[in-house]
Amino acid sequence: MTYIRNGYIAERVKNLTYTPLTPAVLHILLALSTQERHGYGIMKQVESDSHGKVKMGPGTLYGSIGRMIDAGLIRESDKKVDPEMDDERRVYYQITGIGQKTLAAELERYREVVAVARKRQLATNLLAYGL
Amino acid sequence: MASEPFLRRYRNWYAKLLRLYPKPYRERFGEGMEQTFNDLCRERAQEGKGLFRLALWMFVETSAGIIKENATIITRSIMNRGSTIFLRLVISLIAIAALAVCVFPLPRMIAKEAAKTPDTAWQIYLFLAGAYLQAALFVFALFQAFKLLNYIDGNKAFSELSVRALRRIKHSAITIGLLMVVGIVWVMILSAGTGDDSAGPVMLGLIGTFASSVVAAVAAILQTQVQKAIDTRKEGLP
Repeated sequence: MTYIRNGYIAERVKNLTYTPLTPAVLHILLALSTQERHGYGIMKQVESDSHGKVKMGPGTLYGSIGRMIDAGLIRESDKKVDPEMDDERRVYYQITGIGQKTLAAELERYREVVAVARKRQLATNLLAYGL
Repeated sequence: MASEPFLRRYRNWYAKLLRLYPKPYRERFGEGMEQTFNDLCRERAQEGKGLFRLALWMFVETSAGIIKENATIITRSIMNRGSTIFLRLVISLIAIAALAVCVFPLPRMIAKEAAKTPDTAWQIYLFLAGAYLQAALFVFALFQAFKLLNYIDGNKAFSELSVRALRRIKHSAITIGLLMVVGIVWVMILSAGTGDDSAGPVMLGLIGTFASSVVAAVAAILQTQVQKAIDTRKEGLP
């Protein structure tokens, strides 16, 4: 039982680290890549990064945050007041080293995919020009 | 601002909704979620737009999160405990109670109703048939849950067998829910002309529909999680 459980958890962490990330996880990592943010700050950043296409509610956001903390991609930093908002104290989240590496690996994967797509596009263009 | 009382009310409701999260999760993120909810509502209010749609969307979205987190906790606790005796006991008791209702009070009640209105007795008997069908599906689903516990105890939790049991539970729950909806519509049609008050049965039906959709959702989530675990393990062992 223990073996299975550990095996399962190990596989989940591996998945999060190396295989394609879910859109929510990718966007949260992107939002945290430049600076630490609180929940609402992450949401706003994701919305502007994706030009309003990715809309996360609190359920998805905090569900993903929980799993990402467990996988070591991000961590809680401080609980402090955001000077641009009110005087309530909010928990800030920051990206970890593993998170940075995961994000870099994922972006590299995207670059490769885009490169392949470009090449194909070029090939079809050449064909279209009768070359 | 006119939306201030609305904001406060929505925030209260949202805090109540958050209580349905598993305790460790709620202690970790409850406050942050409430703040975020409030921040989003306030932003919307400052733009001068209506809050209702945003709030409704977040309630639905958070409910989905609640179901998911609870399903995860249930899976984990079953696997940690290793023993499933308590769950077996609960399932057996529920099954006995359901069967007892079918055998004793239900036919007697129906017979009394049918005697009152002999002309339309067939309608009542049709209801009885529907109720029995639902009870049969319910007991079938409980039996599948029992089998699932057997697989867990036999260290076969992550197997095609459990996926199949979960799929059957999901299908039973969906069918029960659909039968409830049919029943509700039918009661409303029947009572439309007569002036009878149908609110009681309709409310019961709605509660039943809601409960069976929750069961179906949990079964579906567990099914995909188990399937995913099986798939990753297959990939891991070439």
